Amino acid sequence: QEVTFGTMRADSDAPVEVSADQLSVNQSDGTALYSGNVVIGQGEMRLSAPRVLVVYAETRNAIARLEATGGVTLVSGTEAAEAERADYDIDAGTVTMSGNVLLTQGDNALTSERMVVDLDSGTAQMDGRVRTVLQPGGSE
Amino acid sequence: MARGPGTRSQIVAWLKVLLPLLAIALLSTLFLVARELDPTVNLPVSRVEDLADRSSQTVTGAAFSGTTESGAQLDLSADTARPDPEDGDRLLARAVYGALTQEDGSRVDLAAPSAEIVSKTDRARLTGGVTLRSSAGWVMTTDALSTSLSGTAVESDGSVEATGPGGRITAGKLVITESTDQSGSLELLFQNGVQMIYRPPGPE
Repeated sequence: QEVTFGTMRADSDAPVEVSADQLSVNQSDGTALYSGNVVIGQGEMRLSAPRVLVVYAETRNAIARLEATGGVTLVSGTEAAEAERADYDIDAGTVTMSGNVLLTQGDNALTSERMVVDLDSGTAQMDGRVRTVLQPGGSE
Repeated sequence: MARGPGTRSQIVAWLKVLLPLLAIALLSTLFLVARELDPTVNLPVSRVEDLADRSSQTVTGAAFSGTTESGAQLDLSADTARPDPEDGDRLLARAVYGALTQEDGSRVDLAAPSAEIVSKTDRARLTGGVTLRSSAGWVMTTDALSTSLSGTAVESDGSVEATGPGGRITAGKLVITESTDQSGSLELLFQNGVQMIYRPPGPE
């Protein structure tokens, strides 16, 4: 099911900022693991998680993916999405969230197994037991 | 010569006795009360201790190396090194270069303008702006750091700036240890708050 996500389109070439309590970098294979309330930011998009692993591209001087695990929250503009895990592919500019995804848009909420958010086009593709939860009545 | 001895010859007879006595007394005062004269006191002589703390003990091109139980190798070399005048156990070194090499080949090179090496407490402190270069392409700078001489344990005093494959990083503290998995490779731990900025390479 196609939904729009994120009022502004995040520019996938904008600099990516990551803040965390700690970062450990292993020198032999070069993997880097951020831990302790990690927040990844790019443009309007904020992705927060307890742990984020940096996966490098083969050329080693570019980051291919950021794997956030341990309960992830993705916020873009007014919308928020939660899931167990999220893979943020910087080159492609997509965030793939998996593990009981919950997307809240204003009053209504959608849940599904997986959701792929395309930051450039601002659309999200949800699949796997998508269910919509409509809040009856306006907010008092 | 029947005449009784006249007063003149009596005086002369007494004088013959008194005058030599007086002479002896005068001569003795010359030696007894003379000032203590010690010619050697004011000769310009410096004793051995004074020479000890001069920089005469500067060693140039000093080198130190140690291996840890896990096989990591630490080499420290300095352009000049001399003992600290106040504390004999401390060695003050200038223009220090270090290399920490792990068994699996990962290594970190250190360079600092000054350092203190205390082999007794098995620690060295690099000060005055330290630059670290790691085999995985990270270049890090911090003000000062301390390292153990016999283990892989480097710890920066304060904040550290780093640039590397992950982008540009500032962190409150840098700790370099051996990674817990058996690979025994080096682990860089940026702690006390980490900020990273990564600029994705433009679409080639």
